[in-house]
Amino acid sequence: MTIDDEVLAGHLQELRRGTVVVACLATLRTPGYGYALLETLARAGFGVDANTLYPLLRRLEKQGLLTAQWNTDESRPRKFYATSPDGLELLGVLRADWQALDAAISDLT
Amino acid sequence: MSSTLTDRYVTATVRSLDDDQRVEVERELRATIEDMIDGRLEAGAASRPDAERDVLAELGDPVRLAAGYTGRPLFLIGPAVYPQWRRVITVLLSALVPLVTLLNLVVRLFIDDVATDGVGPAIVSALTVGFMVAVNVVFWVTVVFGLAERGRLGDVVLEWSPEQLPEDDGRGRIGLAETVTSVAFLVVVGLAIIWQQTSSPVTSAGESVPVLDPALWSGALPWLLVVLAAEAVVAGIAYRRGRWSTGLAVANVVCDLAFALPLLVLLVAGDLFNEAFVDLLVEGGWADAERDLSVSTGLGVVVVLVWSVVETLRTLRRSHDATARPARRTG
Repeated sequence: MTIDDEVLAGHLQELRRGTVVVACLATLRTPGYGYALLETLARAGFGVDANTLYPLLRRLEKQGLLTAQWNTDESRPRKFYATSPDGLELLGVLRADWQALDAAISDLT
Repeated sequence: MSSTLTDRYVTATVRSLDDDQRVEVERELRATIEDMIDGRLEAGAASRPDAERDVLAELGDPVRLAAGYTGRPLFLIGPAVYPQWRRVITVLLSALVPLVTLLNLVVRLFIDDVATDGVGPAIVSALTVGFMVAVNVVFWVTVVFGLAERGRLGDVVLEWSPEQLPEDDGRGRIGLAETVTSVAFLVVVGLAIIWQQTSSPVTSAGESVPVLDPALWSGALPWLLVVLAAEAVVAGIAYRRGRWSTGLAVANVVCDLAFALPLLVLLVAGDLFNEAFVDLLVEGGWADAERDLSVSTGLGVVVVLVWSVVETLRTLRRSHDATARPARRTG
């Protein structure tokens, strides 16, 4: 590819920027904690920095899209996040929008 | 218990958070760091301290992380407010700094004994004051805009509207107002020269005492009037043509010099002012009249000369920029 690597990386990042929220809401339909989510997203190809993900999770919690619970079962207490009903609803809306966008782009290209 | 790197990191991050967030974030952050350290150890890190250090390096600047949690901006003046900030700074600096520097210079020249100390201390003092004014302007304007950025209080005030556009339309055309102002200024100066001879404001024994040496009417003063007329003509030609050309600009600068230089030569030789006039001032109580008049007039002439040349060059540059741009099709 003759495109500069940095330029390519920049555009890919822009394209992926909005998808992290969808990925989180989708993954957290099964309750999980921060670090595990980080690894899951990384494996799925949504590489997010830890210092971006944690504030994001907190923001989503504040917006009522995630619920959080401290799990003290294991030796290390962990904060478990789960997608709330509002979060599920938003997930549906975002997925529908995503598919509409995909169709629109297909029409254009 | 000795403080670990993790302790220091968590403390630094949590410091700027609100009380309700602080406890939760600290717990979660510690758990995360532990998890990440374990992950690195499993992936083959050399030792726990090494892994710890790498994890903290990966998490990055605690201030940045905390900002992610609080949502506070990571800048002083943001893009929303920056253009207005820059405009205000430019206007204030270009207006205040030269003015203050000049005033200080004038005052110092009157106070100091120029004969013994020279003009050095006065100039240094003026430059220092100018610098201090500049620093203060930048500081206070930045503070105000920094607060506006955070408080949303300037939203309406700071919004841009087309009314704020500068007058320059990029065509380099000379407006009527500009020409009239220049010519009016020249006429005023010319009239002042004539008037000070025929009916000066200063009188002695019922007769008006001219400010400038009457002997100058045999050579210098008519020359000055001719130069003023020439400059008015140049301004008129420029207006008729619609823009300044290099030739006209040069003519303008030459006229300015032809006006200023003879004045300065006369000043230095002490031949400019009427002896009777100066004597009157001294009798009236102004002991250093001769020196003060010379200094202030000299300064005034130099300032006006410099300003005039700068203005001419600036108008010329604008004119050149306009002609360099491809002409727009109209109609």
